Amino acid sequence: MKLAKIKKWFESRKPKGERRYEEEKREFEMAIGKPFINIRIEMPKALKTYAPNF
Amino acid sequence: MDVTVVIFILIYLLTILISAMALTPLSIAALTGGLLTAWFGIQYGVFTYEEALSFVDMRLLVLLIGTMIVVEVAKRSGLFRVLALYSIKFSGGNPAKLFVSMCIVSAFVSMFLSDQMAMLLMAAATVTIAKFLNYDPLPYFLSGTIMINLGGTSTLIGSVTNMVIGVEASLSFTDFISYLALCEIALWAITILALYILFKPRLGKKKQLPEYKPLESITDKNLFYKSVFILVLMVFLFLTLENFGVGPEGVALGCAILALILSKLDPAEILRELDWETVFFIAGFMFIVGGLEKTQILNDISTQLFQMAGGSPFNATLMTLWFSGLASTVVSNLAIALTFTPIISSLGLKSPTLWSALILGTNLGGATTPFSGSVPMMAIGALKREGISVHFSDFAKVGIITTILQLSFSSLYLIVRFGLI
Repeated sequence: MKLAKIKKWFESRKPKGERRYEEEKREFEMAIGKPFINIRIEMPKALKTYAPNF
Repeated sequence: MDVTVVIFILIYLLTILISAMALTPLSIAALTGGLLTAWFGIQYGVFTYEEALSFVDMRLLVLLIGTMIVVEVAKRSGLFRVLALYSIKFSGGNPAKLFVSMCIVSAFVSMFLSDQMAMLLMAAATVTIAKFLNYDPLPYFLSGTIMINLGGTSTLIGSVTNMVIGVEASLSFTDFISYLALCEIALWAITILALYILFKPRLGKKKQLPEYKPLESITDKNLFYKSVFILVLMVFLFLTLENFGVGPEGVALGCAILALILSKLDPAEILRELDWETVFFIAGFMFIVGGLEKTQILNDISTQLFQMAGGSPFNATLMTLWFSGLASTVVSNLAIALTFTPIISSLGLKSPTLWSALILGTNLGGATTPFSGSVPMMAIGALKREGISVHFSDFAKVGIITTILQLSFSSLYLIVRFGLI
């Protein structure tokens, strides 16, 4: 049980570097000329089947 | 041989082995080894509990943590990103210029940032620009890795191994620069030239760079200027306060507090992002080495090594340089630095020659193969995420050539700089 917890903790350490790498990459892409705009779209329930298209 | 010596050596070797094979994080390996050393040492009466506590050099940990805080604040301001963006802009889309400027900025940035953090930043910059210009990112990536490993060899805060050796040998910020700055500048030039020759056919053709203003990427200008001020102040205080009896750890801690106050960032968030892995690795490993020191085994090794060198400073310097350099290609260079500092200390030589050799050796061996340290492994990991695989031989071919070149030049430099002939 403890070993499993320790293993989980080891694995949880890995994404930190990956997360920071993705953040940095996004900052560079934005600076060099690929701006990101996040728009939140509320879909009517009736159109839920079309969600993947957005 | 005394039973405690055997136990301590076994703990030391096991820790090194586990760290080298990356079976557990470095900190866990070193802390477990440190705990076992302390337990056996106290049980067998090699040292007391109070003596064991003194194994951890607080000056070193304060210097390390203080510098990390200042740099983390500076990193959040976007300062290092702006430098990378300027280096890309400076190239004007010319691949040779882009290659050289990326190499220089990689080395420069790693003088302040930890090597891992510098790698993340430069990997992101390289991938982005390579995608925009449709270049093969591999030459830029591998060269960046080698330059990050090289950057900061001649400054006290340029790498963690430098901090370890600097604190143990009582070398000031100015000492580092006066002994090694010329060597580092020459090593930058030689390494860039070698990498350029190796990668020239793969750099790509001249392309039109997108229009952008690096400073516009800064979201908080106030924090940016404060970060520049604190970094400049820290270097200024390192240079001036050593004459007033204030050690580098005092300067680093003072500037860290100032950075936290001025930046108004959440200290908990800043502290969470520090490289605690390295801090605890050092703390744990200090117990292991402290235990070995108490058994006098390191003294004996030191005497024997000097005898092997025939009592000649020339041989001893070159042995230290090449042994620490080659050992760092397979073992954590931090472990090598922490082990060798008491060995060189016990020689009782006041000369900075052996210290300079150890600094160069431990710094230069870290990017020889993909398994030489965390930086090459991170570089390969980042490339893998981008769908590019790097063969061991691709990396090792470049790494071995540059490491041998760097160690050979460093040998010549040490002979001339310290008049060893």
